[in-house]
Amino acid sequence: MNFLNLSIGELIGIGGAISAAVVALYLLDKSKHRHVVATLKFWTPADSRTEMKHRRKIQQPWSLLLQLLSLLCLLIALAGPVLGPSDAGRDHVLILDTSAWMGARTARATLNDESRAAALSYVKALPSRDRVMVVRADALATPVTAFETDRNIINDAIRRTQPGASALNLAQAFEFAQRAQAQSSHAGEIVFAGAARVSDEEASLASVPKNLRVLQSNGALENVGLRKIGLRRSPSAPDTWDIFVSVRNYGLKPRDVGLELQFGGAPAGSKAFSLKPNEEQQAVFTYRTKAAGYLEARLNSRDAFPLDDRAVVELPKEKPLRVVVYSNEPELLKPLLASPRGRFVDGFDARRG
Amino acid sequence: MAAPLIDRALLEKLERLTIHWQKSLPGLVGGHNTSRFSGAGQEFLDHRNFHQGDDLRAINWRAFLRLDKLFLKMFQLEPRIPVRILLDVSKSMETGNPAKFDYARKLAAALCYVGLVRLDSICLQPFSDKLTDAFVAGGGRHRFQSAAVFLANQKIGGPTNFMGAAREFISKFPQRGLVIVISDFLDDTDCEKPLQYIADFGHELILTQVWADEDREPPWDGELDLEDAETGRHYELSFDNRARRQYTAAFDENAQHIRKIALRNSGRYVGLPTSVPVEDAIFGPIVRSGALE
Repeated sequence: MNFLNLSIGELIGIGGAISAAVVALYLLDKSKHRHVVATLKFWTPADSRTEMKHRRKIQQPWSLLLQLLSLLCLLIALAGPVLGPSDAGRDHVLILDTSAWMGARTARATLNDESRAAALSYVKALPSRDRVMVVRADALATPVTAFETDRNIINDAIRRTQPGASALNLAQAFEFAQRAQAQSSHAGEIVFAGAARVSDEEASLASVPKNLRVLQSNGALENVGLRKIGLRRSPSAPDTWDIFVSVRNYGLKPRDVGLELQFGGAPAGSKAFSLKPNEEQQAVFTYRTKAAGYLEARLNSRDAFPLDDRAVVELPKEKPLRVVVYSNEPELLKPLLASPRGRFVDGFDARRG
Repeated sequence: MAAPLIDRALLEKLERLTIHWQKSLPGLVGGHNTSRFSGAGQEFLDHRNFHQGDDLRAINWRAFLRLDKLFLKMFQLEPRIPVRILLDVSKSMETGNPAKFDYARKLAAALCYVGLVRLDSICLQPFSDKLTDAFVAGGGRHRFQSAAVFLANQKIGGPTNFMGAAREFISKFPQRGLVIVISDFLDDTDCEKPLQYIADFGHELILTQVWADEDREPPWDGELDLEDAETGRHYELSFDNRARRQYTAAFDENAQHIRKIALRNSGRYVGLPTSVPVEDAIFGPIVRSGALE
C-alpha cells in the first residue's frame, strides 16, 4: 500500500496529532469550571445523578473511539491509498508558473521562490518510482524534462526556474499536461505550482483536469500596474500625439497612485488615479512633438510587483511621405494625397510615360 | 466621589410612600398606623369600665348621668413604632452580577428614606453571624444623608448565622417593632427557627429575599468546581439541564418556605431578583405586598 498524497510517516504524524487534539478537546470539555456560589445547599440535591470523583476519566470511550476511527478513515481517504502491488510508478506532470507575476515580492521572497519550494516539497514526498515531468508555463508551456525518476534532474529543473516576461496561459498548460499524460499507462497527478494569476476569461476555464493538484503561492498581493499604453497621431494635427494609458488596481484595497509621462526626460503630463479594487481607469494625454524620442509612462506606486509600473515607447520622427502617382490625370488626385502625412511631389502621365 | 445609592428622582418618588405594618404594636403617639392598643388618640375606640387610677378626663359623664355607672372612653392610638432594617452583610451577598449586596443596600436606603420622611424611627442593623454597629435615625428626611453614608461604608464579611444574629437582636431590641430583613436567606443552616424566634417576641416580619439570577438558575454547564462564598468549601459536580431544573426547584422550595414563615407570623414576604431595578421592585412587588403604601 502506498499513499499518494502523504508518506506513511506524515500520515501517522497527522493522524496522531489530530487524535491528540480530539482527546485534549474532549478532556478540556470535561475539565471543571470554577465558580463561587452563595451556598452549596441546593447543589447537593441537584447533583443526584453523579458526582465526578474521577473527572478526568473518559466517560464514553466507545464514542471517542468511533470519533477517532472516523477521523482516521477520513485521513486515509484524503491520502488516497492504492492497494496491491505498485511496482510501476505513476507519471506526474509538474507545471511551474513562470509568468512575469511570479517575480512579485512577498514578505520573505518572491512568488517564484515560494512556488519552487512547494514544488520541491511535493517531489520529495513522492514515491521514488514515480516519474515527474517538469513544465514551465507562461504564455507558452515548455517541457523542461521528460518523465524522470531521477530526483536530482527534477530538482535541478525546478531550481533553475525563473519568472519570464509574459502572462500565464493556463488552459494551454493544462492541455499540454493532459496530452503528455494521455500517452502514459500510469497517469498520476497534474500539479500546478504558482500564483495562477490569470485574466477573467482564463479564470472561467472549463477544462480543469480532474487529477489536478494546486500548490498555490500567495497571489493576493497588492499591485497597481500599467495595463496598456497606446499612441496615435492626432487626425487634426500631424505633429500631435494622442496617448492613451490604462492603469489597473489588481489588489484588494483601494489605492491612490500618480502617473507621470515624460518625453526625452522632460515632463509630458501627469494624472492622479483613485482606484478601487480590481478597477481599471484610462487617461488620455496629447503631446506635440515632431522629434523622435522615448516616451516613458511611470507610476509612482510602491508595490509587490514593480515591473509593470514603467513602460517606454519610442516615438518616430515625423517625415514627409513621398508619393509618386502614375495617372493620366495626376492633378485630380493631388487634393486627395495632400494629406497631413503625405506630400504630393510629382505626377506622371501614364500615356506619355 | 462615589455615586449616591439612590438618585434624586427616585427619592422624590419615594416621598409619597409609607411603611405599613399590620400588627397592633404599642408605642408612643405620633405614628401613622392604627393600633388596637388604646391611648391618647383622637379617634373613639370603645368604652370600658372605670377602674381606680384611670384618667378622670376620659370618663363618659353623659353615660354616668344616664346609667349611674362610670365608663371610660378609649381612643384609638396611632403609635410610633421602631422600624428596624436588618441588612445581611455576609459574604454570600457578594455573589451575583450585580452583587446582591449593592442591591440590598439600595433597597435598605430606599426603605430608610420612606421611613424618615414619615418621621418613623429607623434603625439600620447590619448582620452576618452577629450584629454589627447599627445606625439609628429619626426625625425627618434630613437625616437620610447620614444613613446613606452609613450604608455606603458597609463592608461584606463573615458567614451568615441567623440564629446568632436573632438572639443578639432580641436582647438588644426588647421593644416590639417592625423588622425588615433584607437577605438572600442562603444560610447553610435553616433560618426558620431564628425568624420564628424574632416573630415570637412580638416583632412583625417583612422578609425581603434578594437573589441573583445565577442563584436561582445557574447558567453554567458541564463539570463544575463550586466554592462556597462563605465557608470556602469546594464541591465538584456534573451539571446539566436536568440538574438545573432540580436546583431551581430546590431554590423555589426554599423561597416558599421563607414565605410561609412570614405569612404564618402575620408578616410579609417579597422575593426580588437583582435583575429587577430597585425602583421597579419598590413600586412593584414591595408595594403589592403591603409593606409600603
